[in-house]
Amino acid sequence: MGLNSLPNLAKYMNSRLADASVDAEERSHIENFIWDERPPQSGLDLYAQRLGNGPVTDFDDWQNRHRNFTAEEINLDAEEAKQPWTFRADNAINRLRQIDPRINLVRVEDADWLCESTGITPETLREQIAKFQQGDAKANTFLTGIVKSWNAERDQRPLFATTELEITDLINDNPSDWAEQLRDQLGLGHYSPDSGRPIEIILMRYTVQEVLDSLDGAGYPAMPTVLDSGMSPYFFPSPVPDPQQAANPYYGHTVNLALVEKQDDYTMGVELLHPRIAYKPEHFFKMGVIARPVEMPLARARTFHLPWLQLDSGRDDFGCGR
Amino acid sequence: MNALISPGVARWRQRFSEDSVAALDAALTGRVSLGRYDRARPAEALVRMLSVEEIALADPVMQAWLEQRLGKPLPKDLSPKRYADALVEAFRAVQLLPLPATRNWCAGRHAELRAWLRGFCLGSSRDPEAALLVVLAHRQSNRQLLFMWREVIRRGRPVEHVRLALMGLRLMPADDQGAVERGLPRVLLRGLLDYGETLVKQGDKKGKPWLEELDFLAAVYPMSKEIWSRRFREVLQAREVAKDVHHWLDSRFSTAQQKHQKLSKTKLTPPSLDDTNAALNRISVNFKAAIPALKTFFDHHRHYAHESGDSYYLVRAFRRLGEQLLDHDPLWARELAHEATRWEPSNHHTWSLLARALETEGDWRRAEAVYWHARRRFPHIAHSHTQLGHALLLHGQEALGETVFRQATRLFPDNPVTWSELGHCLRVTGNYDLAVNVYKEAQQGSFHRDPIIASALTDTLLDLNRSDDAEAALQWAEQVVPDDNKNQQILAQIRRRLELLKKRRAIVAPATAKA
Repeated sequence: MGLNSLPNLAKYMNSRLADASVDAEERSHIENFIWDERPPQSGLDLYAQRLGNGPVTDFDDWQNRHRNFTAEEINLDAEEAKQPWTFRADNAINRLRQIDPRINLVRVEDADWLCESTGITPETLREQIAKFQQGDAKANTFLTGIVKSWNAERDQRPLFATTELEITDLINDNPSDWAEQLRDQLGLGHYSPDSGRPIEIILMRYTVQEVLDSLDGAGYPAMPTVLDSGMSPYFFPSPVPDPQQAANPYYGHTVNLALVEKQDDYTMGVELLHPRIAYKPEHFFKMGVIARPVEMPLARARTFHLPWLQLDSGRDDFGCGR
Repeated sequence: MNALISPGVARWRQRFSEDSVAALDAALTGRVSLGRYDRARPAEALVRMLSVEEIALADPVMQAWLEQRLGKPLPKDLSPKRYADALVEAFRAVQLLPLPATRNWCAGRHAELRAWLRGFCLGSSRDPEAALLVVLAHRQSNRQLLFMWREVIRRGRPVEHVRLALMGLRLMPADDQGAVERGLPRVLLRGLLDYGETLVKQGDKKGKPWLEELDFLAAVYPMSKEIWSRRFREVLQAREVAKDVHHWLDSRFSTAQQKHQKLSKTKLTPPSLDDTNAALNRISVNFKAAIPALKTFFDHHRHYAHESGDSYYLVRAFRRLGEQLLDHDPLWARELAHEATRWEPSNHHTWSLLARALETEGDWRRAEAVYWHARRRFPHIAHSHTQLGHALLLHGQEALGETVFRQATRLFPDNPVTWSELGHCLRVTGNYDLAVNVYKEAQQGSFHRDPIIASALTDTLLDLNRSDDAEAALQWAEQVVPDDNKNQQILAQIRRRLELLKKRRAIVAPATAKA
C-alpha cells in the first residue's frame, strides 16, 4: 500500500516494526496495511480523512481511528442512502464482475443475539430449521418472523462469505467438530470461546445471484482489503495476481487456523465480501457449536500462509517489502 | 482448554483488573484493541473473553458505566454513530454475559433510560433503546413492566419496538411471584389487539404488520386454530376493538360466537396424573413393550395442550417421562424436552432435561451449549449453575467447572448444594485440602447441621489420612445425618474407612517406632 497519503500512520508503523517487542497481532495489522496493494488511492484518501492528522500514538489509538472509518464509511445503517465504501464506484477495481451467479455462498453468523432479540433459543431455532427443511409450513412462518426482526436490525456492512464448494467435503462428512474446522478454515479467529462458553453459529446459504440482486443486479462481490471491515489479525490481504500465472483471481484467501506443524499440511481457505442481502427462511442452512478455542499460533499460520499465497497468485514478490 | 493467549486480550484483561470502568468504557466505545476479538462486536468479544469471575465483576462496573452517562449528552470525543454503537453494545453485553444486577437497575429506571436513549438512535441498526428493550424483555421476575410494554405497543412506532414489546409480554411471568406462564398469555393477546387499534388510528386499513406478528406468534405457540379463536373471544368479551381489527383477526381466526358454541360441545378432559405414574411404571417394567402405549399417552397430552392451550400437563408429563427415557431412548427424551421447552420456554426443568438428553445421546457440544444457555437464561436458579459445573467436570474441564461452582457459592451462599458440589469438585480433582476448607467454610456459615456436608467433610479427611480429625467429623455427622437406610449406609461406609485407616496406622506406628 502506498502510505504516502497516511504519513502519520506510516511513521507509527515504521517505529513499531523497528521495535523487537511488538507482538504478533500488532505486527499482523501493520504488515496487512503495508502489504495490501488493493485499496485504490481514493479509498486511502478517505481513510486518511477519517484517521485525522495528529500522530498515531499507539496501537489502541490506531484502532480507535480505524473505527472512525468503519463507523462512517463501512458499517452503515440500512436507511443510509450511501453504500459502504467497498461497493462504491471508487472500489470498482476490486469487484468480482466475472463471478458465476449460480454459485452458492455460505456465511457464518453468531446465533446468540439473534435468539435473544427474538425471544427464542438456539435449540428452538435448530428445530425449526430442520422442520422447515422438511417442508413444514408453520416452520416457514416461524422463520419468516425471525428473519423479519433480524433483517430490521442488520446494518449494511459488507459480509464475509465463502463458497459452498470450498466447504462441501466438510459439510458432507459432518464430523462432530465441523463447526470448529470451518471456523479454522475460514480464519474466523474471533470465534474463539476462550472463556469456555461455546459459541452457537448459524450457516446461511444463498446464491451469488441473490447477492447481485441486492443492489439491482449490480451487487458484485469484492476482494477483501484492509479497509473493508474492523481490523483483524487473522486477515491477510490478497495480492493483485500476475495475469500470466494466477490460477484463481476471484477470491480472497483466508488464513487457515487449523493446528498444523508443517508448511506442507497448510491449506488456504476462500473468502469474499458481498453487499447485505435480506435473509429469508430458505437461507438457514445449518447450525453448529464452536467449543474449542483457536489453537494455531497466529505467527505460524501467517508464516505458512504467505508462500502459498505467493504461489497461488504467481507473485513471489508479494509480502516481501516492509 | 488450550486457548492461546492473545496479546491484545491479555492487555485488556490486565487493564480491566486495574481500572475496570475505564477498560469497559474503552471496549464498548472501541478505543482499544481487543486482540483476536477486534473484528467481533464488543459485546460478543466480552462474552468470549471474560471469565466467570470477571463477569461477576463486570456487573457493577457496567451499572456504574451507565449511571455515569444516564441523562448526559453525547460525549465530545465520540461521533454520534460511535456513541450509539457503544450504547447498543452495552445493552447487548448486559443481555449476553448476562449482568443481572445491571438488568434490574435498568428495569427500575426504564422510563428515564428510554427517554435518554431515544436521542441517540441513528436507525434501526443503531438503536440503543431497542437493545434496552431486549434486556428488559428477558428475566422478568414480576409484572412490573406490563404498563411499559403496553405503552410501547400503543405508540405503534417503530415496529421493531412493538415487536420487542410483544416479546416482553410473551416472556412476562404469570404473576408477581414469577410463576411460569402456561401456554398462551392472555396479556399477549391484549397487546396484539392494542397494536391493531394503534395501526387503525394511524390509518392502516390492511393491517399487514399486524397480521405478520399474529402469524409469527401462531407459529411460536403450537396450538390449534380453535384455541386461538377461543382465546381471542375470551379477551374480546371484555373489550371493544375497531371493526378493522376484527376483520383482520377473522381473516386468521374466527371469533364468531356460533362456532364457539359448537366447540364447547366437545369437552376436553385434562390428562390424569395417575396416567403419568402408570406410564412411568410401564417403562420400568418393560420399555419396548411400553412404546405403543407411550406414544398414545404423549399424543393425548399433545392433543390436550393443542386444543386447550394449557401446557401444564404436557410439560410435566414430558419432563417426568423424559427423565425416565434418558436411560432407554435419549433421542426420544430430547424430542420430548424440545416440545416441552417450546411450550414453556421459561421452565428451567425442561432445559435441564434437554441438556442431559443431548449429553446422553453423545452430542456433548450441543449439550454444553445448552447447559451454558440455561445458566444464562436462569441465572437465579442455583441448579442451572451446579448442573453446568457438574457437566464440565465430567467432560474434563475441571478448572472451568470449579470456577462455575465457586461462582455459584458466591451467588447462592445459602444453598448447601452449591457448597457440597464445589467441595465434591475439589475432591475429585485431588484438591483435598481445598475441599476440606470449603466444607468447613460451609459448616461455619449456614450449614452447620447439613448432613451431606458433614459426611463429605469426614470422607475427605479420610482421603487425607487425618484420622483424628475424621473421627471428630464423623461424630458430628452421626448427630446430623438422618436415620434412614440410605444415609446410614453412607455413614457405615465412612465408619469402615475410618476403622481401616486406624488399623493401618496401628500397624505402621510400631514399625516406625522399631525403626
